[in-house]
Amino acid sequence: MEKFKITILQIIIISYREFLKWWRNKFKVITTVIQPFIWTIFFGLGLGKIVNINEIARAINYQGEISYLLFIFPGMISTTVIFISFNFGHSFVEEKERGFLRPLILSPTPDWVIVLGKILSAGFIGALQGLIVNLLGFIYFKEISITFLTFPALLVLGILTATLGIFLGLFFKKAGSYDILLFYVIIPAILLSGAYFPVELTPLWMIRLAQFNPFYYGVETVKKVFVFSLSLEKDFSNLKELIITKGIGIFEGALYTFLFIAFFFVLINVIIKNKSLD
Amino acid sequence: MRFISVKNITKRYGNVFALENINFEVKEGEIFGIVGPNGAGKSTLIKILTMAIKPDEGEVLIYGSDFKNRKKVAKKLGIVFQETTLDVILTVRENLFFHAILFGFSSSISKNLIKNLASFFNFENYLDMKISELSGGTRRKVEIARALLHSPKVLVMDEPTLGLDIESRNQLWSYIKELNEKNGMTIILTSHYLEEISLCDRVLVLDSGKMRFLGSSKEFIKNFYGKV
Repeated sequence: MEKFKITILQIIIISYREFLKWWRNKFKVITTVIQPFIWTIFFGLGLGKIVNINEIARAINYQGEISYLLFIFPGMISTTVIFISFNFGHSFVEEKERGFLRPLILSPTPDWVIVLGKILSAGFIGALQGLIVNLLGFIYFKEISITFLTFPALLVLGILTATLGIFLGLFFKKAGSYDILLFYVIIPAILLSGAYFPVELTPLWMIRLAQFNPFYYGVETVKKVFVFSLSLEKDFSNLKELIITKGIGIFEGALYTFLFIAFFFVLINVIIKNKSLD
Repeated sequence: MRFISVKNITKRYGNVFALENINFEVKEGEIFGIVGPNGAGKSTLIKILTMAIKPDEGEVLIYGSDFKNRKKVAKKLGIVFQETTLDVILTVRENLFFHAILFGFSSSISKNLIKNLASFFNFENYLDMKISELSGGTRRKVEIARALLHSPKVLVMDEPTLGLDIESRNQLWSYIKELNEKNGMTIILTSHYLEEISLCDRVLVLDSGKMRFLGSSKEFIKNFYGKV
């Protein structure tokens, strides 16, 4: 029991350390929140004029009024979470490169505890910034919704991204090289996640490919939470029915995302078992 | 009794041998110096001794544990790296506190340990300052304090006095001697300074990854002064 308590404390302290390092870099905090907000304005109000929203609504089986801004907002928040959480993979490689990871890996704390602490903090920070963008959208755009399920959905997506980031980071010795993943893995994976257009409207091979894309499930969960939230706003009296109808979809998306998290987490631990993180 | 045993270790980076067939043992309570010019393999040897990296060939045993069981011996080793590994954006107290928790201490014990070490190294007034605001000498003291937080049996230091002025170097050495004499702590260190090597009990000389000498510091100075 004592050992369990210490392990929990170690996970919390590793997460808290990462959180403090992020929080004290105010410039980074502010710019990462503002950037997606600006993107949303340009995408939503600009691209929204030329996109056939009715076709999108049919593809995602959405009944009710929808604008392109409303469609891409959850995708934009998901992108924020993914970028921020994935950037922790960069920090992880940089820490390896510059030796800052050594005090952690040469401590008696098991490597899986160190990795878990880092993943949780990266997921939390990503989700927190996503939530701030969501709140700004809620205030500014009016039609944007928010609910008690928003943060958990963003957190799951953030944890997924951080796990993937650290997994990929294990194969890099230089943080500069890791950044290339952003263009070759992350951006294509975001595009194939349904964040900006429904995957259902793409060719069959892209639909098949999307099924192997972990972000597809994470982003789907966030989008389903938004639909749930919108429906709830319209008719609160139907909460029970909504939980049954929409809740199953949210649970399904979250479950698949968790399976990907577990898969990558196990892989990380298999790799680091006999290999130093240095 | 031999606490640290290094048997036939070899480490390559590509085709270059960083270390080749190194053998030695370190006894309990001795100050063991590793000397050599830049690129001799000192830092690679320190990384292997602290189990940060694995040798390509050979074996390092610390208290009978090898690389696979490195977490078991982690509590017995205190490590000061050549480059600073403190989080510069965090305060001295935060850096030390996080380290204590990683070594399995409770929050209250950690706070007491920090208080005692800050008093020993005389940096109580800097506890709530960020590392980035400290001088090089104080940073080094904090690094050594962090390595000593869990009362290790062996203190391993890679160029502990590098970049420090004479006064700070002398002060650090007085701490090192005190730890060795009063607590019987085994100390392994690398250094470029001859006056520091003379304070070691035994010395290992490396050159281009090969062992050139292993013996007492007196013998070393007698044989090598002016040559290394």
